[in-house]
Amino acid sequence: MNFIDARLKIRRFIKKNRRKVMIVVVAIAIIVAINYVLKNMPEEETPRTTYEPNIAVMDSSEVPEKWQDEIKNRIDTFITYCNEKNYQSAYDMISDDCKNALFPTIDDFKEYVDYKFQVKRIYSIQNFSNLSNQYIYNVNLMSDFMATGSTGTNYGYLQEKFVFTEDDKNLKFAIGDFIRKDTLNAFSEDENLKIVVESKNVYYDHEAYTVRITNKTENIAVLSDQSVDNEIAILVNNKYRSYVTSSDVKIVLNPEEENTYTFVFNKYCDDGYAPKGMYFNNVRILQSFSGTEETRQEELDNAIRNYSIIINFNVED
Amino acid sequence: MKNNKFFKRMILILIILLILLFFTSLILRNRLQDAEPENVIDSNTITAEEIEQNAEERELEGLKNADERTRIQQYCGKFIRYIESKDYESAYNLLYPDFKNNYFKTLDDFTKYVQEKFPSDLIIVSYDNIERQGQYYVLFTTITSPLEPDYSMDQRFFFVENDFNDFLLSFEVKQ
Repeated sequence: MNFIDARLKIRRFIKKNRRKVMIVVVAIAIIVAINYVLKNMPEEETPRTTYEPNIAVMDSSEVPEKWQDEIKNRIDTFITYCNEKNYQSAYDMISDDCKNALFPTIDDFKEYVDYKFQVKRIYSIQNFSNLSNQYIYNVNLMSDFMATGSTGTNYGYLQEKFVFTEDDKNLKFAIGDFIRKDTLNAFSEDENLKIVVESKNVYYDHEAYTVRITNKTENIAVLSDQSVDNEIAILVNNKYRSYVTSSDVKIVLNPEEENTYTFVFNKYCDDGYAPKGMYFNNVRILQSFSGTEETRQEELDNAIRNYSIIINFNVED
Repeated sequence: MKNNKFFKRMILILIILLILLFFTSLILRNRLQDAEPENVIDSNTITAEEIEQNAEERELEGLKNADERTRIQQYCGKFIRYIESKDYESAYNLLYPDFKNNYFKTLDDFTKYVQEKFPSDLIIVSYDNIERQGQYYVLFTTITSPLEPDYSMDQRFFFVENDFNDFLLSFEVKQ
């Protein structure tokens, strides 16, 4: 087909379908015109800021859009209740796990509110870190400096982490740096001791383990008296992390005694490592125990057993 | 029949012409807007009102292109300029309502305070630091005056910006 044939064909086609062609051309022209006008319409400008409250400081991940308003409103409502000293309404907003860990009674919560809200507070929020289904916000509580100009006080603020956990299409709300409670029920048992790591409360910068220990013997069981490093530790990233304690604390069980302890370990919840187990590295079953430096060696020499116990947690590498 | 054909053709040409005209006018208008130097006003017809309006427009344009630190500093500068030029009412109108209510219930209270604490002429503001707390800004400044060498005052300002050039402020009241 040469050029003239093609031209004639096109011409014939246009002639035959003139009305349709006209409609198509006009429709295209209208669409192009509307597009052009919309593109050139002046956008409403608002002041640009660097404030991105829902983008995590730690890794620039973003809180899902569907939760952003909900989170903002919940924080606002909670702080309004606290400012109004509406203790019960504020208390009702907090998740059960958080209540059990930090504020078992409303009076405990009142203490928190009365301490943090001694004056009317305004606040700012910033998404700090996001775990798989948990959104951690830094909340700065400030005196109402817009109303006072910070007159007569130093400019400053209280900071804590508010945490939102996605749970069955809902958001659970926790305060006081509380992240979550994990049930572990990991245990180890031999002829001397039974150790059950029942659960742990995870906070932003530490973990608190609830551990039940039973001394099955007729002797004294010593698990920690600060005589060596890492007597009680967790293994994080292939390194021991000893429990937080003071020098005068001793974990000693009398014959057939059972006790429940809380062992605290420093660990950031967003460091990317899961503890692999709890290590009792200096377990001693002794005939006698005075707890003094002078008799330590003698007591050790007469020990029935001196060994380690490992309780593995089921974690994937 | 021929007339009908002619009529249809004319309508088609008319529509095409209208579309072309529309586009040309849009393109020309945009080009003219881009090329037109801002605020060129016939000096014979300019009024005080127009000068003020132009200044405001220029200020607004400047703010639109500025980052948040610069904007907040400019707002602070505006407040200080009002004080410097003894336009206390304009400065008073920039105060956050609760702040006014707490410390300066009347314009007279504010005027008296400002006259007592700020230099009477030539105020220099050094912007030492700025912090943002969500929607609020905290500006740390030092106020001095070349006419009063012994005068120096650390002054904290707090700002909330609603829109360009639409802001409210409070400041630490010195006893």
